[in-house]
Amino acid sequence: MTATAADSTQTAIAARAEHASKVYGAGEAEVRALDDITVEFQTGRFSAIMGPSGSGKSTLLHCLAGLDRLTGGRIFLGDLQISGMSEKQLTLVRRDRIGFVFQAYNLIPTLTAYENIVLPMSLAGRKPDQAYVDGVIDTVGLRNRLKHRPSELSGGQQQRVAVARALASRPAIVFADEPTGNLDSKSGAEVLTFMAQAVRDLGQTIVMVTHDPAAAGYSDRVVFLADGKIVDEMLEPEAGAILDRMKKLGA
Amino acid sequence: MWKVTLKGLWSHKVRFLLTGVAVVLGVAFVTGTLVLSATIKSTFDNLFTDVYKNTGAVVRGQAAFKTDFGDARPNIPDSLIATVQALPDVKAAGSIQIQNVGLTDKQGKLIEHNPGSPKFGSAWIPDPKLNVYKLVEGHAPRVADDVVVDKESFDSASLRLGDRILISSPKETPQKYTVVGVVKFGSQNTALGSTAAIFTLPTAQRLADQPGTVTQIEARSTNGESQARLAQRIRAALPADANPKLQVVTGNAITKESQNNLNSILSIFNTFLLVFAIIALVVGAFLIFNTFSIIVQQRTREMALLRAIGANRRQVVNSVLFESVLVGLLASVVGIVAGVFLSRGLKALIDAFGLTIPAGNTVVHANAIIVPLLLGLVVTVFSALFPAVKASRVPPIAAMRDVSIDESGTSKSRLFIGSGLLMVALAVLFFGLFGSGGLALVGVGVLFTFVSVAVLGPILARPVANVIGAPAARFRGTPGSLARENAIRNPRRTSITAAALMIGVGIVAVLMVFVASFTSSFLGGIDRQVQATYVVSAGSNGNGGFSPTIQSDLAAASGVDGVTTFRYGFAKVGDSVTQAGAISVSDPAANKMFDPELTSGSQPLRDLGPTGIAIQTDKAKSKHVQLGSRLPVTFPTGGTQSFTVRSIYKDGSPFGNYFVSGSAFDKGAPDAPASYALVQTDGSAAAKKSIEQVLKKYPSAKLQTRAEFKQSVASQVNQILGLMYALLAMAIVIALFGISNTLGLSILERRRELGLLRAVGMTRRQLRSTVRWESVIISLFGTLLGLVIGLGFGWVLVVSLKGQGIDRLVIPVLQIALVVILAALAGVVAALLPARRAAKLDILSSIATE
Repeated sequence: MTATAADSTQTAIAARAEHASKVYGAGEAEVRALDDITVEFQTGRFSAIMGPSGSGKSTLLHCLAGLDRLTGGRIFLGDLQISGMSEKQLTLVRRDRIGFVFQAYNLIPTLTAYENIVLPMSLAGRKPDQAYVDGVIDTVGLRNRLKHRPSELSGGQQQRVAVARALASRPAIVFADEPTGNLDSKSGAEVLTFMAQAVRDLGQTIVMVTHDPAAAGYSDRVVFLADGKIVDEMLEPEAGAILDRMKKLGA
Repeated sequence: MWKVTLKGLWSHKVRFLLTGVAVVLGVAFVTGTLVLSATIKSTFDNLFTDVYKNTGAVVRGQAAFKTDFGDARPNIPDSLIATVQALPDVKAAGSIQIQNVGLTDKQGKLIEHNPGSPKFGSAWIPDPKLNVYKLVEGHAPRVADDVVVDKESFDSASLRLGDRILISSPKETPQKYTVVGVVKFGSQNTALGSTAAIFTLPTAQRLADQPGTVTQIEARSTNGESQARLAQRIRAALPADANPKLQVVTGNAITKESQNNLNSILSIFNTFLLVFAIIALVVGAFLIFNTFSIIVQQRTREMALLRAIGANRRQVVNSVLFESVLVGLLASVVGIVAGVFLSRGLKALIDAFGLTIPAGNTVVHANAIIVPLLLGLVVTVFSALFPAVKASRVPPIAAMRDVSIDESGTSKSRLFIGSGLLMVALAVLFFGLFGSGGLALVGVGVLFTFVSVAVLGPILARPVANVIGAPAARFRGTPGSLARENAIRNPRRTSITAAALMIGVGIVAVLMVFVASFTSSFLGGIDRQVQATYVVSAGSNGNGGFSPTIQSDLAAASGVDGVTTFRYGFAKVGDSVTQAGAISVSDPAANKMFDPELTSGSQPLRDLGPTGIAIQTDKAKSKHVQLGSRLPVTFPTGGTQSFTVRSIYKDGSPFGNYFVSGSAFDKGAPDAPASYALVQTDGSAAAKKSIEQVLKKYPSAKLQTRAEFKQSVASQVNQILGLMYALLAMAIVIALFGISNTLGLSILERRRELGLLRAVGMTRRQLRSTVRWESVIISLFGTLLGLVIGLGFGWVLVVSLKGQGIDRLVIPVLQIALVVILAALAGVVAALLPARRAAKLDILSSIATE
């Protein structure tokens, strides 16, 4: 695509969708959630996917993350083609290469904050890189909350733990699905700041779905979706401009 | 409101199916028991009606006393047959019944239709209308060594008319007889699985060792008069001063009496089965309670919403109760239908353990439907009541709350109520065991103990599950520690689920301790008291007996140093009816093979004299007799005599509570065969050979070394234990359903969390492992509770039975370890379906679940 696509020979591609389609139902009832989308997300960038509800933005994220399957096209994470992988392979890809932040209920209630943070690594039976994990924990400011269970944390703290978990295993890419959707604006801003910081300081790659222009404003690049197609994109976006663009899309 | 309830039911089909299963299994067990006993009863009732259909009146001796198996009566003179026969329009015949008359095949091997099945000998009754047997081949016995046999024996042993076969009898050395005829019993080849050997009257009298007498005289009228009238005429014709005293009863009365005698035995059996059915139902109640509790908890929001939009508390209670009524009703109906089929399974099970019971067409009485239906309904509704009331207390504000936190593990009132209940339960239990409370009170105490532990369960769940789960958390990584956390996150749910299993395991543990202690005490008694090289016992199950002539035959065998035989028969000692034994020894001076450890007196049991009696210590205590006391003893024959207590011996003798001399026994219970013979040899193989040679003449006798004898006693006990385990299996299966059900419901509840785990990289295998370990932890928790309670009860029980011959407490460690291993495996099995279900959850829709 455009200018960034040209850079991609230099900057590695973290995730790529090629002619990705996702069709539900058939015949009259056919719904095209993704309609022949081709898009790339660069390593070391904070990208946002925006669009009105029903535009297919969450579906795209889920397919990129190996949580959902395409009906056509291909998905690559780095050089690894994940479309067509078995459920078992996908699970391992998610565990070892991907970090997740969901809108809510990100944490296992029976585990402490720390246990939640290192969960993917303990599932893999790996020792966490303690220095790195400590760095992440300090970045999100959770040092004194590590022994607490999710029920003892505020919503903002819970999302920070979720971000920490997503980052702690140093995944190739982090997918965030409306990570601030359930938070008040102050907590939301904190979480987004940490995400942006993680990209800038730790070299992480994040792809975030959001419908909040303010949230998208923290990203380096915004991709706009409508009716399952990519309709526009914006580099180094700024909240006001995003809002205008969204209004045009009828969000 | 009804509509909401019905929709709720329909949308939770699976969970109600699972709840229903608990009720179905419990109800089916109760129904099966009732149907089986009704079926057996009707089979016997019909049989007796049929057998006595032509019998107008019966003349017999007056009962000396009553036993659990009918009245003990003396024989009557056979001269009375002629007296009755002489009456106008009367046909009469003397009948004789001898137990333990064993037919053999041509190889001299005992014929048994089932191990230990009855073997009857009798006298041929010439009048075909009075004879219960119908000749189908050959002819009636004519000469002394003729015998007629049942068709089943004839066919199974491939006998032919004219064959000479050896027949063993309780009173004389086995002899050869000629098979001259074959009979059927009504339409059956055998009379309820017994073998029949039918002789001429004189031969039967000789075999019974009661010459000139018959067991009873059966008569019928040929002029159509009533049975009462016939009985009256016979009564008038009999000598008034006959010895023994005579009794004339109508055929109908005999039928009734036989039926009643049998029913009283059946009712013991029936109660035995019902106890296990009730256990299954109680376990089911725990499961129902738990399911409704979880459902109500999961529906907290729905309930609160209903309350918020104006449903009052009663409507909420009613909606839950209505669900329970529906579930209870449906499941009970299914259970009853299943129970009818289960009755056949139960019969097969009991047959498989060697306790043969005949059964005809399945009989389903109204009470086999009404009782289980009511039980199923009441148990279900009652179990749902508490959760229902709790549901109604849900404040509308709860709709806002996300996750209800289960804090029952720390509740103080729970601790107080639970401990209080436990103390009451234990008090009741001890009163039942050691006081005058009786068995029913023991049962109530046991039930209350289980309930109180179930109440205390949530408090125990966290610490105990933490410890049980430690290895899982340590060695199974994240899935293991998640499993442990999951098992303790709802302490109440975990503990009630486990409590259901606790009951089954608890009862198994009681049985294990009791049986191990009993067996060890019994075998210990044999070790201390019996110094014989060999034990000769009768029949395959120790039932039956052989002729006392075995004594002299064995004593004459080369290499044999001494023989001691034991005989047993019913007697009334003081005011209790019991088995009394007599010992005969080959060489009184030298014979010390049996030494029952006298505690007072010095008269050896083998030498008590004509009116001496030996008593076990605890019986002497309960009868308040000492050495030299006089004690009235009544045998079936010869009236009541006064005996003198000559010896008192140690509790726990494996050979019985009372002994009299052989001569006294001969007079009082002349038809009792020998049950055991102890043989002392010089230890040579030649001696064994010569004994075996002697025993060829005694087909019902089994030669065992002392060790083999002990082994066979133990295996008999284990056989009964096996039957009880099989019956308890039902309760345990229900409990496993409970674990499955709870896990299934928990998984539904934790969908989002499971989806998240899968999203961040938990493999399906790991997820299944998590569910499996949670199941194993719950299962082990229940097992542990059960073992603690069961071992405690077992210990108390054994202590309380010290006087009954159980003098050792044995905790069967290996068996307990086996139970723990099985419980863990059962946990794995119970987790199969829930684990599969969890692994199949769709990640996206789980995460999206509101």
